[in-house]
Amino acid sequence: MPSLSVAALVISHRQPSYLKQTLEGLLDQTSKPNQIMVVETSSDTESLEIARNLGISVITPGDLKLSAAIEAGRAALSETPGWLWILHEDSRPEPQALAEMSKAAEISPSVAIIGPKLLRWEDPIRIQQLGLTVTQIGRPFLLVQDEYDQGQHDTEGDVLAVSTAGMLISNALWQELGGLRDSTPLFAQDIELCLKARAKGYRVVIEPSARVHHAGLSTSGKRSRAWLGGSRLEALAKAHVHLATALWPMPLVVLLYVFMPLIVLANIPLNLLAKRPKRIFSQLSGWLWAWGTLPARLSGRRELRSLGQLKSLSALFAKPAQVRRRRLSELVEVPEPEAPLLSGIFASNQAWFALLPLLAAFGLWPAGALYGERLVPLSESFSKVFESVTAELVKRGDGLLLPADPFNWFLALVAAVSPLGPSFGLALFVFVAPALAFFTSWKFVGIFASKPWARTIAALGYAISPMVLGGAYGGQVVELTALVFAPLAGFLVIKALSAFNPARSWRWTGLAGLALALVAVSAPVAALLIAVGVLIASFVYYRRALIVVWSLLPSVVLLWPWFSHQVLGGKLELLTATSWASSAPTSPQEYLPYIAVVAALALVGLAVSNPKKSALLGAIGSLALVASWYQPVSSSTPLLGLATLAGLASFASAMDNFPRALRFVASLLVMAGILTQAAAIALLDDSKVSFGQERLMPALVVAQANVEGDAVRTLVIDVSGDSVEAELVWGDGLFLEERSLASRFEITQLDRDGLSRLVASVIAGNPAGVQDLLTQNGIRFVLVGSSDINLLSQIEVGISSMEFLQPAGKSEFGLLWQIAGDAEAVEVKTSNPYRDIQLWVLAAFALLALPTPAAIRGSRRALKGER
Amino acid sequence: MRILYRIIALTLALGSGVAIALLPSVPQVALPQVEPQQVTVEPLPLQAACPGALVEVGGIQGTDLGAIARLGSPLVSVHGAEVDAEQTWARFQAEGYPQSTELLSANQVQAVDRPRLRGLAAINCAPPTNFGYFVSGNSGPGNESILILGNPNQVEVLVELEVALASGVVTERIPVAAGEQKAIPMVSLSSAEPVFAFSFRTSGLPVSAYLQHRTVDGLTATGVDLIPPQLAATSGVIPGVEVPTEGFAPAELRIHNPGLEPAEVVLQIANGADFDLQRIVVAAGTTAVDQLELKEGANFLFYESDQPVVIALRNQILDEGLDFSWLTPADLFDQALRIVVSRTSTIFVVNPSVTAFNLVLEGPIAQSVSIPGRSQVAIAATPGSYRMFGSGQFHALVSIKNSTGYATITPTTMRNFGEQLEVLIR
Repeated sequence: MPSLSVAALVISHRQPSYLKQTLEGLLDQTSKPNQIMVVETSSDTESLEIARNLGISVITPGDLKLSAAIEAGRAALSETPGWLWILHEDSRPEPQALAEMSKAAEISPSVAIIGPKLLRWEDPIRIQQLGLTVTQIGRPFLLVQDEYDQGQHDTEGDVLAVSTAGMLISNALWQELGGLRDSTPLFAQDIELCLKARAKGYRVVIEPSARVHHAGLSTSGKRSRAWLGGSRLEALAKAHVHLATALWPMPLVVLLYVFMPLIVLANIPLNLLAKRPKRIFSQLSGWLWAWGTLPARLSGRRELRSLGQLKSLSALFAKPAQVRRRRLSELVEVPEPEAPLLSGIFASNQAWFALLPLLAAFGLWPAGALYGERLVPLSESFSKVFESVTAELVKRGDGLLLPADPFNWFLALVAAVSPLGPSFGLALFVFVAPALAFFTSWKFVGIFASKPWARTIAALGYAISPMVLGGAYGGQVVELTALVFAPLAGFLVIKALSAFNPARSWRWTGLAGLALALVAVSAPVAALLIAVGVLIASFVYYRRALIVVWSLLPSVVLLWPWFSHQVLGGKLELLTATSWASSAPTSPQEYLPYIAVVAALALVGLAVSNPKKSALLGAIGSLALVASWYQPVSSSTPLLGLATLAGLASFASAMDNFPRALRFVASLLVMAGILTQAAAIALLDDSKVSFGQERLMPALVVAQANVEGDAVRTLVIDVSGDSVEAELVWGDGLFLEERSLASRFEITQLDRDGLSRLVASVIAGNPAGVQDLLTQNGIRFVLVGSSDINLLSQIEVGISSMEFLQPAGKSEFGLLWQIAGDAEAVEVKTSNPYRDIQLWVLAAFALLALPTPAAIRGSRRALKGER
Repeated sequence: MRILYRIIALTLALGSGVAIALLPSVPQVALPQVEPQQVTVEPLPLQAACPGALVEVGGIQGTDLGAIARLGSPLVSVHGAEVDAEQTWARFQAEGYPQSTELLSANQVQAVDRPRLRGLAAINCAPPTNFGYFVSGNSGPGNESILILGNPNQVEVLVELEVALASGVVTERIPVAAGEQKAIPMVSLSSAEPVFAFSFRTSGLPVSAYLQHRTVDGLTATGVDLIPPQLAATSGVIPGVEVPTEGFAPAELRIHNPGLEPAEVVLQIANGADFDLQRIVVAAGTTAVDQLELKEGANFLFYESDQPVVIALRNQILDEGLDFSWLTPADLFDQALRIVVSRTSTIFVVNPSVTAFNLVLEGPIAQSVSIPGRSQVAIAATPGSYRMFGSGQFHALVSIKNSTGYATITPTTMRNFGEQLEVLIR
């Protein structure tokens, strides 16, 4: 029998059920401790009662931290023990635990700290911890983590440190070292204590035959955040900083503190890639904490290093190979539910049907920049398009301080991915949009219908609908964007909510956030509907709700400048639209025949398909239909499209339940309808778009603007009979991304009297005062156009009589004159105050969306009690 | 529960449909409107330039290569300005407004009787212009076209000619010094093609441009004429197409389509109450020639086209002598028209509208006539200055027929752009 004098100190904090089992475990020890003292830091009466009923001494020293609580327990002991056995109330020892650890202490006199094998409380065949160490950079590291206990580690001996849960420590050493430091982060306290012991020349060992069941209340969030000093991740980050401060050479510590902000920032993308965004906040908090408590960290370092050399301890640090193995072991293959055969769009050969909307859109084959009722080309390069994202200056008149259209983000995306120029990219998008809509809606319908053929029918019905295919022929770029990406956003949100692990959920959330942002910047009401859907679905799939709700962040950030401006300006109607290129409001009656057919199909679906799916699709369709009523600024096409999609999905869902023959007949009928519809739109509809060049101004003006930018002003005059319209155009013209929906509702600030006189004098060929007015307004060019070439010829004679207007040729935009001499330079300053923030948020979501092993294979969930 | 879900779904679907049907439509947000401003601006002074004396190329026998001579001097009649005898080609300028033919109106008439050049040529002196078409080019045997270019400006002007031939397009640049007038035989530029059209354009400054036509039949001169430049239009009226002897010689219609799309031209030829309708398709960039068998009497011609076209009609008559005249579409006048008549003439007035209106003629012969809708009247006029006005819009043409030949004068609108303008600054 061991002859050690052992005092067991049980530190308890309002966990009576765990305490009871721990105390019973203590009492069942084959080698009983000489003294048992319970230190109840919460003065919980039930806990006190339990201890007293078991005949165990208990003290209530107040709400103390771990170190102080142990000290209070030591002070309350009736005799000074040789050894202290520290237990938490959630660490129940098996009967042989103390006996085995005592044996180890007796065998080797140099052993001063002994740790047991910590097993999971609920599942004691799995090892929770078997010794602690740190990585080469000072991060706490579990030598064994969540492994089935098959005795494979029972030969372990010396370790760098052991947990305080179940730690048997020489009382003399405890006294010599001064115990735990309460100023040290909780997860570093035990490691620091053991490091001190090691520095003094003592050994720290694990005794695998001593087994303690550990619930890990601190790390599983069952204790207050104050106990840990923040969240588990924050506590880990603080422990890391503290140990690095203690263990690294001083020059490196200085560098660490100086570059800590950069390190934290550099880690952000890595954490996002690893789908662990919560670590960003914990590392941020760790940095601020480290800077705020630097004296305490340095004091800890001094104290440790004053005890002896630490060099030899590096042999006990975790090896890089161990760290690598741990990382790999964190990624576990989680079997996916077996997918039905031929479920994918390519595997089932359904992707070929995308050719149908592509063929139907053949009239839109991109042959240059798109022109339409509200379509003009984009600037010639991505950088110019990107300049207009969130810009606060609309280049009209004297300049309007208004927010740029949120839709510019989509235009910038098109510009970024189009190698042949932004305008061509936009034209290409309109051409392929119906085919893209087929793919995205196919995925969305898959949530409700399993049969590939049924999904194809619904997706084709959507892709060639008057909203999608008709929208393409109508040049409704904004609405098309929403119609293409809304089904995708819906699909991704559902995937994120139903993901089997957080890493996957974060990845789907990243994708959903980006897709939803595209919907938000093109059709905010549609995005709002999806957001409401996200919130409602979060109640059903509550496990991932707190992750998926982040998918709304990019939309909120992208719309914020626009919304805040409109709300502050009292123009609430403009909250329903986000682009100058949005089509004019449409009446649902325009689509009545198609909606009526879809409604009939939807009713079949509502009557036959799965009732829950029916109710969900009914709600989506109804909300979209009702929301389409309030569109005072832009077209309701996206909402009508969503209502259509819900109806078609409902029918597809019903087709799953049809008998084979009925399914065949129904498919044939619907397919015939789809083909008729496609032919009607593609062959009969008058396209409202045309293709043209990418310039908006004559080449000479563009060349001058390339040198001087927006300081170049051109007086553009359009003459029709005795009516004249004129505009002061900046730079090389007002491209699509430079036009602002808000500016349509504002009147530009200009000296209209002066400009009217100038325009009249110029076209009448009357030089009186013209040169001065041209100079004052910074005008470099005069461009005159008219559909009446006879009139234009007459005006040309008049203007040419003014010597200071030098003819600069005839162009497709009209006749151009350049002003001789210098014009007053106009200073143009634009700002994009929100762009960087928005860009960072989008970049963060793009990183989240990138597939990584953690997202593909699935990372192990954090286990209770793990560090 | 399943029934409940279905009832919910159906209720939602039907309810939303009913809601959409019952809810009043949301009004669109109104856009702020910028009001146009009325601006009064003094237009450029009115100018007119005549072609000057007729041109004879090659001397009296046609054998003097390179010789270009001006023959005599035309009779220039002007209202609103004085004729400067010093000038070799008459130019006029008149300031003030409102601008119209009441402010400045001029024409010239010249009769010539040479072995190779005989007939009567008359023309309205039009404002110089920087652009125009001539559709009547002839370079075949017995035909000669000479372009008369005058530069009334203080600086040299470069005139670019673009000749549309069957074989392609030929361009030529001709510099014209300040105050200079040049006669350019078109035969070399037209590759001697019998029919061609061409345009001229300057870099902005206006020039006076006229085309002189001469025809011979063997050794007999059969006529001379001057034609002003035209602009392309989609509709117009050619008044006063006289046919003294039906079947003598068909009128030659030229239609040039300068555009890039084929033009479909619908012609209405009116003679009293009779109307004849023709449809001619003119390919892009080409000139169509059609022979019109017109009825005896005074005809007039309406045309409409889906593309801007340039149109002219060559009318040859055998009355007291053999001569021809190129008739071009007449401008539409909605205010008083001033014409100075230097020879006994006939003034043809066409009412293009469908309702009748009264035309008042003031001058040596004063009269008031009612012109029915879509019809033409002919008014005999003795020399003098005439002012005509009415309660409707009209086209007019002055026709001179006498023993020296046949010529027409088509008055043009005399108004520069300006005066009252409505300007909208966006």
